Amino acid sequence: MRVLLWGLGVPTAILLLQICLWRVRRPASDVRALAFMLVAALAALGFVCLFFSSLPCGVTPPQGLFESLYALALVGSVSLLYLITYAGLEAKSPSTLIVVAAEKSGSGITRQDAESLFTDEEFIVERVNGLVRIGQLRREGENLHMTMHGRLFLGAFVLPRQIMGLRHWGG
Amino acid sequence: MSNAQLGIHLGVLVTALLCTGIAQLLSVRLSGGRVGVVASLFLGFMVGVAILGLGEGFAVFRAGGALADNLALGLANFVLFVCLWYFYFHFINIGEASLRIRVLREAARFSGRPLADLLAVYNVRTVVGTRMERLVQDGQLVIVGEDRFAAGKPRMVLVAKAFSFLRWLLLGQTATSDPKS
Repeated sequence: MRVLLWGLGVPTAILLLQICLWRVRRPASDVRALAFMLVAALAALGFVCLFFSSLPCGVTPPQGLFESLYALALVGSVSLLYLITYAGLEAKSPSTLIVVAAEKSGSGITRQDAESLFTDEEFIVERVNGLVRIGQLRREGENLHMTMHGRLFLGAFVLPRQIMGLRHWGG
Repeated sequence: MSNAQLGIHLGVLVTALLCTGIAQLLSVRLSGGRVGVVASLFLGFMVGVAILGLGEGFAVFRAGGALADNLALGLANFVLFVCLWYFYFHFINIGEASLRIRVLREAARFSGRPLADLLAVYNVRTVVGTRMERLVQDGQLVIVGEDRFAAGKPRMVLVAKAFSFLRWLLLGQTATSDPKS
């Protein structure tokens, strides 16, 4: 019972705290700020598990190594799930934009209508710039070069595709 | 709660996760691509939930200790399973649908060449073409006339509405606010 209570209670408390803080002032780098809050909560729970057998308010923290790790895994997983979803709120998905545009227009949309929703600059060039910023691509004059970091990162996605036997890339 | 009890529940969770991954990968491979990636992920999820349910049913009555503790741990395992499946879903789906990964893959093919070469083969026209083909296959879009597409299954529209609600709840943005790209 303690695993479940702590595993769901800590992320819920962070969520409520985040809603209050964001309503007062939203941080400039909000995904980073949220990640920091979640890591801090995880560290605080680890500290409580290590050094307290009971808390002054009468609440008992997870007991023993195994139970503590279980609770930390649950907090970590729920927090990461929330972080991924939160980061997704910020992004524009071309598929969603196309379907929403089709739904809004009564008679449907053409391929040209869908293409007019996007620009190369916003959807391709901006991502290339992002990959350069995080070191997965390198610019030398006009030319783009793949870095080792980029190759390793791409490799992680290529392997499951090979296992599934997928040949055509999506995107 | 004893370590033996926790060990049994952990074993059930790990088994369910392994079976999820194996079922997902094999369903695409063995069907020769007839089962789509997203469908295979949901298939894997159902296999995993079935194994988790059976395993937890066994663990609740066989692991010993208080029934309430075992039920709570079973529920914690279910939450953990859903979270880990969600990460797996995103990992596999990113490999299939992410613009960033596709751009990286094209950059690997065109390494040492200018951006214009990459844009000649991968641009918004190819993105829209690929996406619309996938949306039609998945039933999210339906062809209603010559080169006209209307909304089909409501899943993606519902997801978009759920995200709008979350944006309002968490960020205080209205539907007309422009999210960052």
